[in-house]
Amino acid sequence: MNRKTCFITKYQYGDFIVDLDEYVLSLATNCMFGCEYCYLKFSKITLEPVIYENLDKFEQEVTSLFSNSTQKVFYFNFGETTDSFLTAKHFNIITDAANIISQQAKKYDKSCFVELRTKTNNIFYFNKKICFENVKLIYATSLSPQVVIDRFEHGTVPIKNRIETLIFAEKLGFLTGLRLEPIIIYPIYGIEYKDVVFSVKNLIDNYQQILKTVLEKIDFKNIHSITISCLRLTKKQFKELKQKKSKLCFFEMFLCPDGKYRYSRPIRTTIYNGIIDFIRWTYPVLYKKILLSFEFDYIWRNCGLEIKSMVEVSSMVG
Amino acid sequence: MQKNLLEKILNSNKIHFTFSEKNFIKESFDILSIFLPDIGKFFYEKFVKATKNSKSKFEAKNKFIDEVLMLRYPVSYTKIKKLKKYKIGLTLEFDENKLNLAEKDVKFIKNVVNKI
Repeated sequence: MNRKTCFITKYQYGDFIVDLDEYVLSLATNCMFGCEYCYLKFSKITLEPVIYENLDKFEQEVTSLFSNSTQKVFYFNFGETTDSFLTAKHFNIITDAANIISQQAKKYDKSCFVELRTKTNNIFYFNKKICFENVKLIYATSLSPQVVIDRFEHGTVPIKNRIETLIFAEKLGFLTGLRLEPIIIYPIYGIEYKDVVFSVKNLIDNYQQILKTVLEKIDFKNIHSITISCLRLTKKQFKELKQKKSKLCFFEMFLCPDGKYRYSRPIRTTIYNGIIDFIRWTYPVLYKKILLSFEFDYIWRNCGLEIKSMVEVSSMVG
Repeated sequence: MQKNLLEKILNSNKIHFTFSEKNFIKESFDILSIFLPDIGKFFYEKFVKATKNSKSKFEAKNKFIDEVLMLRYPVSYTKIKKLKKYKIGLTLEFDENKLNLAEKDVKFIKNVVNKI
């Protein structure tokens, strides 16, 4: 199938949200997993996963982007509209697209980072050392507690496998991206204040344990970034999930200034600080690689984080 | 059974709700029932508590809505009560540095809103 609209679009984060300066690469659409919170389930897209074949158009867009910008570093995200390692065809498109970006990046003297996000372990079948001039590929995986994966991410691989894929990706020459998103409060131990506090503390403990497990096994110098973000739902998602009586519709969620529902601010900042402080004090060298995803600047500041974009973090990696 | 209890509350002549208040109570009931199937019982207990010894339907309504807010937003509503004098919105989504308040007030607010 040929793509008619743009392959490359600047990520629109929404009103008042910190701009991480990413470009979305829509080289493929849809995914066959059943993640209950996924925006793709609520979007008008094809029922089956599709990979677009008209890469000549993609090349034109890359050329246009690079030639019309003085920006030196670009961050592309291939895991926004699909799972980057969903099928063998996805592997091929990654290589083809990376080649195109590499050629144009060399021509226009740009450095590019391309994030490939997945909830599969298909990289074990990819099994190919990769190296592109002017392009670094980032293997990113969502790190969620197993109880959350079991309940909300049907069909995806367990957390243990996701961690193993990070180690494998490193050996193939990828940088790694640790994606603690979406953070979902689950299990919920009750509706009273003390139950919510316990549920949140339990969640923080779970994430600290996951980080400890991952960070014992991968090389810090290959970690590109750690992004953290609590669940957010559009109005449409919230309404439909509420009708389905989904436990994603937490009672203490508010409609925020960007039009999305999120857990309340005290809950979010407690979660973020619990994770950030753990990294800051246990693995201080990684602190500068932490970003909040889809959050307001006052939340960044109240978590003690300097506001930065993916491009700025990429410049640190070099 | 649970919904019957809710209807009993909303249609009671001991308490008077506006249209939007009724909608808020219904929505809170629907969402809380996902996590507590017998939420109707909780709501009814709060209703009885609110209407007992209230001098008017208006007073009963305010007491009951206060209880529903505590059920629905157990963390945020306690914060709102602490920040009452600043007249801050229930969502707590604001930049406290832009509120034009004295430094000590900003510090106090930060301390309240950023912790569970």
